[in-house]
Amino acid sequence: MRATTRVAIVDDHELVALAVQNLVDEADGLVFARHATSVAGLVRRMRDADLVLLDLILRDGTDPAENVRLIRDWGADVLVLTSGEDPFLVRNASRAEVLGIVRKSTPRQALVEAVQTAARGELVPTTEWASALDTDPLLAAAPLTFREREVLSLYASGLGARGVAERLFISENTVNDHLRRIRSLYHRLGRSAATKVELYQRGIEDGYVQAPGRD
Amino acid sequence: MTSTGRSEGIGTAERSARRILVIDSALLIVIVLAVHVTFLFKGGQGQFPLWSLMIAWLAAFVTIVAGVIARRVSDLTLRLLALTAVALYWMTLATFPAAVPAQGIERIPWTLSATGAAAAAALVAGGRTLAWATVIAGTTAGMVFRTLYGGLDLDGVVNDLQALLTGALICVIGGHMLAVGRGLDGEAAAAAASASRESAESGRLAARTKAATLVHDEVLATLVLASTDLPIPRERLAAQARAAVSTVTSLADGQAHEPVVLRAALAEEARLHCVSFSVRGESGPASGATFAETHEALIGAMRQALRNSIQHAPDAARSVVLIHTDSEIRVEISDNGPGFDPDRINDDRLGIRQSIIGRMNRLPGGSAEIDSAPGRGTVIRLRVAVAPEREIGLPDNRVSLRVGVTVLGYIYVITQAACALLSAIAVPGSWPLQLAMLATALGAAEILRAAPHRVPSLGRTAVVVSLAGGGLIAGVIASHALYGMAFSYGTMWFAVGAAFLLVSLALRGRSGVALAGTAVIVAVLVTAGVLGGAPAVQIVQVGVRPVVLVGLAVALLLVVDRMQRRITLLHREALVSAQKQSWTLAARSELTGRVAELARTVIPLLRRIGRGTEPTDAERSEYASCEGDLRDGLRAGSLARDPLRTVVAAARERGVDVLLLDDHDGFVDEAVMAPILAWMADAIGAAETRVVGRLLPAGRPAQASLTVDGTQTEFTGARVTAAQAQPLRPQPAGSGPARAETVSFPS
Repeated sequence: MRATTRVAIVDDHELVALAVQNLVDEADGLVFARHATSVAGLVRRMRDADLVLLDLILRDGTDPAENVRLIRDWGADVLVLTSGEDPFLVRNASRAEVLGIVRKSTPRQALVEAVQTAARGELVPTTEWASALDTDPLLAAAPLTFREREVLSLYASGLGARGVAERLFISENTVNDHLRRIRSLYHRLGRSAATKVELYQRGIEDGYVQAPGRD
Repeated sequence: MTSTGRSEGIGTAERSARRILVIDSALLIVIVLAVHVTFLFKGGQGQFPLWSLMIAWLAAFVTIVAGVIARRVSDLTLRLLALTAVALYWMTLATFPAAVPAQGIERIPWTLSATGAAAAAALVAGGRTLAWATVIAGTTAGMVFRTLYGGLDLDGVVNDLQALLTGALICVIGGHMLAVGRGLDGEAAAAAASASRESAESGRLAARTKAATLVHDEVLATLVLASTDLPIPRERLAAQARAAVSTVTSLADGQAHEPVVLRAALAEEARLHCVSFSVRGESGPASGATFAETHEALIGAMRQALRNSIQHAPDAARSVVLIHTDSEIRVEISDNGPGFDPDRINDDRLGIRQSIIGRMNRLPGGSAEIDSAPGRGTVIRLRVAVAPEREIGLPDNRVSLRVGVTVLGYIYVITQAACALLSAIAVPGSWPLQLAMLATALGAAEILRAAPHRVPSLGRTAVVVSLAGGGLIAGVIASHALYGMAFSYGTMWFAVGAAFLLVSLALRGRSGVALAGTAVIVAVLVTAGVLGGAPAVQIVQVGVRPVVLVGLAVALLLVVDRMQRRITLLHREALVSAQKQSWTLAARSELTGRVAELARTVIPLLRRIGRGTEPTDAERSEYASCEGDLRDGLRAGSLARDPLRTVVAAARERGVDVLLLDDHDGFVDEAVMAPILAWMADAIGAAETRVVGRLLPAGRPAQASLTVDGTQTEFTGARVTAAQAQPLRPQPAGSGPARAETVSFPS
């Protein structure tokens, strides 16, 4: 395990980077490496970070999944930051190899903890992530056990690992094992049947965009 | 031109069909006149009073005038002219007894045998009913007048019978043409309406997505930063807030223009990558109006292709070509770099598989093709099929046509049988010939009728043609050689019968054969006439009707066909313009609405941040609350409503992190929603740190779940009866029956 983890951020808002730099520098075991406004700008140089905090929507219109792939190839772990919780983009990024997806407006302490967890190379499951997966029609057909679905659904309702564990009378470690298996299964799903995935995404994206007009 | 809605009455196609029928009517009059001019010269017409001749000539005159000006007058004028012509025709029929000279007549005047022309005019003036009535009245009157006033000979009666057949044919084909026109108009109106609706929806969607992305990008980031107590340079945050304000306010002006011309957008993208750009071919009406989806996919895929090329072949020469063809829009991105093996692009080349191929495949009618090999350079072709997905369907008028053809068949059988019978009576002893002719005609008609497909096979067609032609030749020879009959309209009745078989062939898609067969018939008749020493007038008279019959049928069918194609094209243009218009309108109104909403809620806050003063704690909470509310607009769906909304805003201002998720993919009944909203609102009031409210996907045991400070409850209200429902604590009025299972854990 590394003593300190170098953290870089890719975000087109300089102020967001500045705020994150503050958080990172004050946290134990983390050191701020660099800010880049695009993934291409980040990976052009020699690798100087172990963990990259990636903005889900970049204004250059690049694809989140493609961005994750580039950073993984570069050799760093990825933790995705989002402004909102667009389930389409969250799923898109979840299928790529990310440690987790965290909302920028998460309370400060929780945000720091999430970055520290990711710095240890561990999965950072969040409610938004679990909810996006729980409702993905692709996962409905995937070979998940009943218990795994139960864990995912409870996690998506806002309970933490401890809450889920107590609710199901299992250990917290078991809950985390389930979440890890769901995550790796989801990655595998993301790699196969690309066009089918895209078709689903399309429909879901549209459904999502129409949602605000319901009331 | 505008799209022709049903409410506006007549459509383009129907108007066009009427014009053609009027012209057709005028042509028939001209032909009838031309034939009868011969009689005028013989002076066979003389003794009618002037007023009677005036009416007849006026009818002809009006018909011809209508035909000449048909393309220049309004539909109403055209129908009035046609009505006048038909009325004059009926008047001729009605006043005929009064006009008949005391000494009787030798022949029925020409006006009375112009039934076909009258039928065409009647179709335009009053539709099929009036047309059939006119045909029947004309034929009946002809027969009656012959009986009463003279001219009741074989020639006359056969002429009337064959005129009935011609009139019936016009009623059927003309009626079919009108029905096709009407159907086309209806289809086009429906297609335009649904295209506008769809296009408006996609415009709204594009606008909403655009607004959502901007809100994400600028506004949420600013609000989050403003609500934290992190040490951020105040003046830079203020600058960002001002930038966010101008982004939002310029949203409505800048973004809702109608879809940019594809060519300009591609040229701009190529320019950004310093790549040469050229265009081949012209964009037609359909390809000129590609919509946001197509644009975005093409430009996105092209951008990715250029990036790939620049990344893998930095030194290569690159070019982009936009190619318009009749069937597709194609964008070709090529370089002369090292190339690669397209079969070997696996997951490691996600850019190609997802961003190029995936993106294009997702587009209706889109595809992408990668043409590359090591050492040969790379060409990436992005294609979008132009043939609009919404082809205006040609309405199925076969049924109306089939009914008409059946009626025509009966009339055919009756008239031919009557002709054969009359001929057998008129020329005693000729019954074997007449019977053989009738049998040949009916047999051939039956062979044609029994054809399994609409277009009869070549073999069947050949049999019908040889029966018609061979029967005619045999008949002509027999009548002359065996019975010594004079060459006349009456004795040659089977010539029209044979011609009618050819008309049927034309109706069933064998127009070429029909025309060739007609030429044979005319040749046989002329030869027979000349050899038999008949006067030229007689030969013309006998020969004209087959030509008119087949020529008319073929011409009208051709016109129907052409009309369908032309009108479809016209309607398609209208459709595209309607689509464009509604896209722009919808996008603009959606954006205006969204901006108005943001101006009310967010912009005052952004302006305050923009002033750069240090926020108070209350203001920070307000920013956090507003940020949450905006997020709810994107993700909370049905949950973003009162009474929940107010309670959530209050909780956020207290510093509670509230997350609302609508995961129910679809519409939730109000009767289910209201108690859920009340239930959540009730519990959130006491929240201290974190709340997650979630509307569950359909098919789960519960409808909603709520986690307040680590305590999760589920809502299963709709599945329990009112009697079972025991609220755990007093519920606000109107919350309805609900049962919440509470399981709590220390948080």
